[in-house]
Amino acid sequence: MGPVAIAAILVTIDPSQDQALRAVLRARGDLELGETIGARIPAVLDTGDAVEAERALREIWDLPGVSFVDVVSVDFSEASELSPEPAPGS
Amino acid sequence: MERRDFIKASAMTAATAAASRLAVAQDGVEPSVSARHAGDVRWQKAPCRFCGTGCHVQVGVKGGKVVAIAGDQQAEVNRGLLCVKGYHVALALYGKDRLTRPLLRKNGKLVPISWNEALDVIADRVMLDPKGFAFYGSGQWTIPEGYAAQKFMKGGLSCNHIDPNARLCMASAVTGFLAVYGVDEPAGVYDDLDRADVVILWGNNPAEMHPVLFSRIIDRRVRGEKVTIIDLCTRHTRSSQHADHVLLFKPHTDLAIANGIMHLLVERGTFDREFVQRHCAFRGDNEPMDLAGKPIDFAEFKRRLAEYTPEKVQEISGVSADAIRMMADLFGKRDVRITSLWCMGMNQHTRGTAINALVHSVHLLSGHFGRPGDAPTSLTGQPSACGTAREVGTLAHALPGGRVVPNAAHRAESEQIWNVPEGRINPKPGHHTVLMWEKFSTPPEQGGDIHTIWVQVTNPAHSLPNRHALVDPSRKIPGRFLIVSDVYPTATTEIADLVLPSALWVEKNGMFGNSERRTQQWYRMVKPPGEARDDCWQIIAAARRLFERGFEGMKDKDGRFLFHTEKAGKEVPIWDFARYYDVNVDEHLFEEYRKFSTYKHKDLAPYSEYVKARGLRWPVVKQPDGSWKETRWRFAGFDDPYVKKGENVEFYHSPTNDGRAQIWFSPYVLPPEVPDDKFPFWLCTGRVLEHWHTGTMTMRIPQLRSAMPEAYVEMNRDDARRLGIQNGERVALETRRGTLELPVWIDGRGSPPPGSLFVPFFDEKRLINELTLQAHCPISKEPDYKKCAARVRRLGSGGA
Repeated sequence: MGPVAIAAILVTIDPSQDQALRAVLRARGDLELGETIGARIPAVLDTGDAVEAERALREIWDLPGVSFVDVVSVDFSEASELSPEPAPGS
Repeated sequence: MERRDFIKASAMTAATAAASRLAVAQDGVEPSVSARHAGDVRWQKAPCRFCGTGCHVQVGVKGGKVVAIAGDQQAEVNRGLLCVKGYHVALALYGKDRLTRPLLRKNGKLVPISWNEALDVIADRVMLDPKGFAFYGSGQWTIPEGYAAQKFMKGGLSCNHIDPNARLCMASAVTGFLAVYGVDEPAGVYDDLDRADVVILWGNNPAEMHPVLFSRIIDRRVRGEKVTIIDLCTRHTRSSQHADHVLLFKPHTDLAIANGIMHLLVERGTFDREFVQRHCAFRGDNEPMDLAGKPIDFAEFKRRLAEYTPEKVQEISGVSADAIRMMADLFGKRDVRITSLWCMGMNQHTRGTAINALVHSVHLLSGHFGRPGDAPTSLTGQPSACGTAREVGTLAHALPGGRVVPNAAHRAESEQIWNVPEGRINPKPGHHTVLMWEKFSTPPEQGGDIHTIWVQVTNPAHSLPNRHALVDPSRKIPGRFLIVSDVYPTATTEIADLVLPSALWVEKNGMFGNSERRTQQWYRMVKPPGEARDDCWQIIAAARRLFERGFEGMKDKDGRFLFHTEKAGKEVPIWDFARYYDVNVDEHLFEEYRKFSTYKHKDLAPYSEYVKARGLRWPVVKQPDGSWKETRWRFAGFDDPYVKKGENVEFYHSPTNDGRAQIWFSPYVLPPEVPDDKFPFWLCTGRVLEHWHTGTMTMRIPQLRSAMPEAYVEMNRDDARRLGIQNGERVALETRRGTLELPVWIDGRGSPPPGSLFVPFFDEKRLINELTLQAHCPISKEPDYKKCAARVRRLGSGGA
């Protein structure tokens, strides 16, 4: 198994768009959705690597009807490299 | 079940639990055991390393390494949530280029040396002339680290040349609080965000800079509550997207806006007459301006405000007269609760003290103070700007707990607590940040009286304004010596003479104090790499080296070591790193420090109380049953134990010693540099969501670096079109102090109005502070990074 980044997230949505948004989110292969509670969808983001995870979060945040994305936890215990290279310029 | 499936199941449980808890706005729920993947991961609490919000995280450690981060569900501040920086915080420990050995510049190159040699070098520099030795730290010092540095300098070297980079970010907030209330730091707390009907962002972008706090406001809207957000700003930001009213104002004109609101409150008689009569007095600027100002009466206050009619304010600020009236309408209503938030937009301002005092004054004049939800609250940018820089007082004029060096009684109290001889503390304030670096960059024959600066937990070659004037000349003056303790190579280590590798965050014990007076504690969880060592140890070890050389300042009155520490009646050699953790040095230092804390009623509890809590907000006062109770609303009779019984509000550190806060009038004046024909744009600098300050940590986190890899210049679409500049095109940005090449970003995350530019300062390959202005507030001495005149030139063209 390659490096993984598994994050527990909360997607805050416009409740009137719950079903439509759930369909959009479900279509993503990297997201597992829980039951909507109030205006929040608990979800687990499972990506190939941590950079992908960051990109995925941004994509979710940019979806129409999504007002906020919070992260509850992130697990990188199985990642093979935590920081593969030094910062540019260092 | 496979491990991966187990982690995913645990993650879903954690997310569902957090959503359930937030749905009913419930605090302080115990974390679910099932939400943690149990077994070989050990979890402990720590505050986040980055901003001043003070979120708590749960840190998961396995095999001597941090392997997981979770929002701490017991933490009131963040209620289990984290921002993009927070959940990556642990990765800041593991950049490949961590500094792991002391390095000394020999023949132009940094070469590894032993700690023993490094300590000798530091001692040599002090012995050269202790009065010319300076210490430059930050609000990233832990409380014990800052306290040790403070004691080393003022109690050991009798030298007050110690200042933090908080001078560059919080100093105007401090002087604003002092000018109005006679004591520093906010009266309100984050709970106000749960109760306010209106939140006003004064040049503040919390959606990016304090996202967890902003999420708290959005959360209320999600639950169906009405919260009006007013964004007073000089450019559209992510916060603007959520605002009900976006009021774009011309840079520097916030003073006119505040005066305009007060003018209408007075003219219409909608100010809170009873609150003002009972609790306030009026004050205006002295000439030259100072912290005390001069008393004026209400008639004079009214007379000075008279010119700030809505139409006049519109003319000055660009904010419509109707919007000014709308603001005055809101402040004129007693049944509406209003919280004001601000951060660098008001602090990094050549009239920083004045605008801070004016926003407090708007709240006081209208009586929007002292009730939950009614608060003027400044936010901090660093995790312990309040706890360390402001409370420990690592400033050139300050002593711990709100004392100041020119005051003989304050010096005597400090000497007594430190058990040093009478007269040890120098009564003359040391050099503030800008002056310290100016003196370091000035030859001795021209008055440059600083020969050595020891820098810890900050990166001044990147963050100081006008680096060409304040930093670079020092590198060419013989005898100037720069010591830098840091965790990674930075723009400052690059030019240093001695580099010391430091431990970071949970590689050491620590305590921070966040924006809402909350003192937080954590324990060391993993070991630092190589020979990296705690900053606090570095200070104590240098002090010990001086003590061994017979330096009198490192002895107390009884001839003992200044940092004498005992366990079971025997001295522990904490200067030996192998023995440093034989005792909890943080606890020893903190217990000594907290003796200072009652003078300004900033009472701290014993260290052991902070071990149990997710932070406690001072004053923390012992109860009859032996427990310790924190205070949320300061100066408010229903919550603050130091307010006289029967009083709703009491300003018990009033500058006038009569229980009254000061309502200020300060006029709008032009900033020191404004756009003109040669430099037609306003240039503003600041931060971005992904990066923290100069990026030395967040640029080592691949996810954050890839999300925001380099600095850019935000430009208005119409300006770009007029100059023929395409989105992404590289241009030369020029001010009177320098030139920088940057890509242009049009309609990016932020959107400046025509005539304005914005550049983030995190990128060490594009040092925007080579271009910024070192002009500063005459009272706080805080530079203005938010406005100077600039021009944009297409590369290969003549300029525009």
